[in-house]
Amino acid sequence: MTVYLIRRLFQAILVLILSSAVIYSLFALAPGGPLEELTQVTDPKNRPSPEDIQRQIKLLGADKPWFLWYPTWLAGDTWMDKIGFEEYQGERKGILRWDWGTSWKFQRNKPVLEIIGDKLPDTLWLMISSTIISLVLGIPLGVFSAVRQYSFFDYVLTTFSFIGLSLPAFWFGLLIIAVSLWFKRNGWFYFPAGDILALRNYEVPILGTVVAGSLLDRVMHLVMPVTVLSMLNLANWSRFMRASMLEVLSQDYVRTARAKGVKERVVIYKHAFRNALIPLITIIVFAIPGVFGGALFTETVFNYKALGFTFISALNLKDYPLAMAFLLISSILLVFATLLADVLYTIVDPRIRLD
Amino acid sequence: MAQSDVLLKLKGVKTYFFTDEGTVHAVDGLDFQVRRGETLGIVGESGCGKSVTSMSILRLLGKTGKVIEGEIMFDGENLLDLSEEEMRKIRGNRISMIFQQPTTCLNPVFRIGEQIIEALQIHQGLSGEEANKRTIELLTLVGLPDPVRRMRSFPHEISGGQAQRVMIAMALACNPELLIADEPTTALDVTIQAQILDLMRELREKVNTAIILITHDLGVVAEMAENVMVMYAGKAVEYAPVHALFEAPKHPYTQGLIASTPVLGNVRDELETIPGQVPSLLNPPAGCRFASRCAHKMDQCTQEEPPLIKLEGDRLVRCWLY
Repeated sequence: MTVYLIRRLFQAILVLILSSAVIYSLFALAPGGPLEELTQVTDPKNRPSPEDIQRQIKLLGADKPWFLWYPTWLAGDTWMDKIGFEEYQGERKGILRWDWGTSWKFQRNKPVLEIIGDKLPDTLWLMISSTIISLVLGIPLGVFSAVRQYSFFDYVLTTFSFIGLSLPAFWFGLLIIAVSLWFKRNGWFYFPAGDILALRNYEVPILGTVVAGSLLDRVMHLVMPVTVLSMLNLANWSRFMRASMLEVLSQDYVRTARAKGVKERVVIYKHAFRNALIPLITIIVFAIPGVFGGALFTETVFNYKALGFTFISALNLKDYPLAMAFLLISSILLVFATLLADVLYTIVDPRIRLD
Repeated sequence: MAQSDVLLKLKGVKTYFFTDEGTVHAVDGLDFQVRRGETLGIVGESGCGKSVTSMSILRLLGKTGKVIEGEIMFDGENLLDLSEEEMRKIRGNRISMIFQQPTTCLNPVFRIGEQIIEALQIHQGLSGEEANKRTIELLTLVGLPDPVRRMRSFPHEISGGQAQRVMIAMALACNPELLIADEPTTALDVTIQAQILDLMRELREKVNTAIILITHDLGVVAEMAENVMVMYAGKAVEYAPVHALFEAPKHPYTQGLIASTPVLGNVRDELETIPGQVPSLLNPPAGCRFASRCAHKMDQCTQEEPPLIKLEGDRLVRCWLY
């Protein structure tokens, strides 16, 4: 197990180095770029002078030969003199030494890690609550549906999950925003249609005044985006759980348990459930990178300005350091999740040993 | 005494499966009985209703199958009249079962010990300590080496033969009056088969359990059983004491079955086969179900189903020849 983990750790590092190279190359090769705006200004009054442009190029480190770009991003340029490039000696430490650069546009000159750190809690609120709700509801629904295969309940659930899987998040989001606004217009109970927190106190029927920035305010704003996200996951996971459970219920050892005189409830929740959960590990663990990534569409529809929204903005604004930081952190989490899944498998399934 | 001597008695049992393609007449009117301590072999080819018979007795037919007619008297009680809860108390306790694929019959995520202990705790309410002790006893009884350590093994860590020993230990945990063994040796190596059969014979003497041995292997029946019932397409076609059956098989199907068994040392280029196929149980033919494959077919055979005809020496045969 330890040997396996050490080996996997080295593999993970290799994968991360490769993916960082790919991420860097993609951005380096993408058309346009940070200098585009400087060179393409048409208004003579605002047009930067050639010296300005040169200074900007130097600031970005683009004056370096191309083969030094990626090493600079990775390990900084404080060591350039040691390999004979004194003229490119600089102050950067590189991402390996925790210098992820500063934002170019989104929040100019603010370190990207700080921006991500600021936005993270809002995303965690959203993603963790929807993940928990989906798991807590999705797994029992799937089990129940499998146990009563072809019953009325089963048909309702499979239809529901089919709809849930087919509805695009942005469309479903807009739909419930519309419904909520209609409720509000009629003076009924409603949920706020957007933002993370309100700026001013507001009145809601039944609850009375909601204080802006309070926990209640946060929950009120979470309800609709969480509903949209949970709908998707719930549909997916309950379907998966149903299939997994059906598979297990037809196994010989379930028949053995029944022939042994085990109560049907125990047959299902002990003998079958434990086995049916095994394939679910993959799905649950790979939700972890998703939690960081936020929900791009849902956050945009609900104007929920957390990580997903920031990432989209960074891409639109050509804020390379910020966008690359996102991609890199996502890949780190993905590699970590894979490793975690492998370890969890050995815990849940005694047949799997990592040697 | 003669009455209570009979442990299990099936009377006109019909088990049908209701599928999308139609009703499958898997077991179509079956009568037989098992006395206490007796070993009855049920023989027949795949799909003749052997396993369905055992699942009908335990009432574990699943959603699509149902015993629609007949009675299954076990120790004077009709199992079909019991509530699910009463039936559950019989399963694994008074009637238990072992299956064909021992390795897939054990739950992969629980230790072997836990799986046996579970049966003991359900039916005998033993405490952890007692159940533990009894489990070690059982594993020793079935000849599993190093039982204390083996209890902590997972099913994938033991061989097929050992898994079948574990299954037998689990089945015997509560000293059942009836053990249904459904192809207990089919999935095992020949040498292991012999060991398992030896074990079952030995246990039968020690525990005095009645056994229903379901198999398609006539050799196994010859070694183990006292009486044999031959099934064909959901019906019993012949019933006889084991020696009588092998010496003089009466039903043409039984004759074909015995003729198609390879005999050691008897070199032949080709084994005898029974021509034709088992009729579909969706729409069983009228008359004798074996008629289409039978060498002795008469006009009567396709028109009217033969009854079970009593012959001398405690034999029954379903054929118009007699």
